[in-house]
Amino acid sequence: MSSKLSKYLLMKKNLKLILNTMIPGDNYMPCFTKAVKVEKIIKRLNNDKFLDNLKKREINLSKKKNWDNCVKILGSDIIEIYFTSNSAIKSLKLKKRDDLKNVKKENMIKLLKEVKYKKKIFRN
Amino acid sequence: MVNEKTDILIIGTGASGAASAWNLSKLNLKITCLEQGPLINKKKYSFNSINREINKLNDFNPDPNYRKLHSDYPINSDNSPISIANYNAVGGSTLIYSGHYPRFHPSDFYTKKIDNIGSNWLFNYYDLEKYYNLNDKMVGVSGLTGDPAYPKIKNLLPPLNIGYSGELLAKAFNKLGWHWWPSYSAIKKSKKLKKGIRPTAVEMYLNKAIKNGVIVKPNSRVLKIKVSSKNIATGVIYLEKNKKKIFLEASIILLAANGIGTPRILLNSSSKRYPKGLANSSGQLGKNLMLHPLGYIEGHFKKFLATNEGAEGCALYSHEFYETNKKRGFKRGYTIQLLKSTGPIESFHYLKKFKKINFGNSFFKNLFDYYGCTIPLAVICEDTANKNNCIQLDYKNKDSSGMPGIKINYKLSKNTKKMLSHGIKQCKKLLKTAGAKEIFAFGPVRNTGWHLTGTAKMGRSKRNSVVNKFGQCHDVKNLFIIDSSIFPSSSGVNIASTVQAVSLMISDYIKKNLTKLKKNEFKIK
Repeated sequence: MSSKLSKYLLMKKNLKLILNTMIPGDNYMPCFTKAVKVEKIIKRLNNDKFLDNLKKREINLSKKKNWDNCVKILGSDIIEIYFTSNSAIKSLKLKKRDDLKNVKKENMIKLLKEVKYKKKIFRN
Repeated sequence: MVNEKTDILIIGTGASGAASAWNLSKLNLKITCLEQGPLINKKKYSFNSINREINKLNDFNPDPNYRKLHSDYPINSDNSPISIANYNAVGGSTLIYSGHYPRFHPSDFYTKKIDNIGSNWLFNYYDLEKYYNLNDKMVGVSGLTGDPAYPKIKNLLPPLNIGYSGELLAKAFNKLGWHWWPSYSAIKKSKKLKKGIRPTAVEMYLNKAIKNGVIVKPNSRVLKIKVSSKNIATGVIYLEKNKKKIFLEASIILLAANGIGTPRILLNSSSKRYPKGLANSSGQLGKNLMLHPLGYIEGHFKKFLATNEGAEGCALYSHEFYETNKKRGFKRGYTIQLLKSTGPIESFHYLKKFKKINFGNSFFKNLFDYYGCTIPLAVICEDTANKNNCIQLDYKNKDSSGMPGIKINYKLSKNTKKMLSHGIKQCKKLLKTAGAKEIFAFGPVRNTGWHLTGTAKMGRSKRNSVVNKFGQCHDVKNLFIIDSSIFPSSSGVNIASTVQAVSLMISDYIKKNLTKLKKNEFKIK
């Protein structure tokens, strides 16, 4: 394996770890790399110094400095990419369906008729 | 400089400009619309798009100082608690507005007479009703007939779904015995798309006007209006994107650049004969700025209510506190609006701002405690005119063409402060009744200066007003202002519907008096 390739694979592995630690997924939502291909982020960061550093050694995210740096650099960007991915949109819909399963739908006209509204406050 | 010629020139292609362009397009005349912004493909800003939230955070942010696009002009709001929100493109601010589309109340047209505050209009609701109806038909307004707050409004499209949050809130309104009604929205429901379609001024009017032969020139910024020695507007100097300066000669000029843009052009058209700005012998141009101060109240609920879905701007509203009630300690009143909460991206940014979300294991827990579980309400306060609330040209901050920007000087009146505080208190009571576990409120909200009124107010006399009841400038008779600058009072509701109805009424007047206007015979009744 060429050193260039092994560096790339290390960077990809590190980035995957960072992204999935930042957005790890839950019962409904996929972890980051299940929703978005890591290559998309690599392309987006396009030779950023941040990526170069990831090629050097395995990242230790328990170090506060490392973690804060990842959040600072990736923060807002990955949120937009994640929540506009098909997988995240689908999962949000599924979650919504389940969350609203037991909520009763009311009839708006019936609700309007319930208003015992006799005050004359409007000057038409 | 290149010379061009047209019969009628309309400056601005937003809500008012588009309506008049269509209304006048049936005449056999050359009509040209100049727009300082570009023509944007609808796919780029569609509010159905999953990119809606991202758009708002980038080029479609309502704050011109944040966007800083080529078509924007700087607006310095350092002397105001409220900053200006707008959009400069073909279609104007209707590209990014919410589509909430109520009419003014009949009482809004004579606040001075009935409540001894503000100024009376020179026409009333019933004079405007025919134009409201025509506009509703052109736009396609959803709503429900029978609201006790208004005279009967007919021919509405079926009302939009008020959603789970609307139902919860409706029950709370009922418990308190307060007025509420499903919103009037410029949003058409479509079975095919499952969601609503919100037309912009382009779909409402402009495309139809273009079919009738109206010429729309995007990226064309008007710098000055030129006037002859007989006080007749002769045309405008405008700048194309490639910086080419053109003099466009016109018989009749209509200004539709909104409550900030219109006085900006008139002030920038000052000359030796008009040192205070064009059409400003009264000294009222740029003064009396009204903004609809807004209070924001957010109720947190323990369960998911899908509050991030539904009508973009307002699902239902209450006019319980709209009219004056002496016991409240202020005059006039406000609307309570049920808003749509934010999607996941905006929710994240909001929580981040208040340090309530962290990446890592707690990420989704933090997010889902908020996302879809909050009911946001807005209190839209009626503002009253004050000559110290004004706009000025800002020579220190210029736009991409070198034209001065705008400086806002604005303070909330005592009346408005009391109104805002009352509104926030009532909304807290409402959300508590609805079962909110936590309530968070503040006001006035800064970036909410959408509804810009009063800066070229209408009146009978040229001594204290800029235009007459038909938007015709007292000083320059073939110059008409057809946007919200001419409103003498602000009302307590969103203004788009009234802006367009007024624009249709003025253009009807121009149509009826066209022969005289073209001959520059201006003594017309």
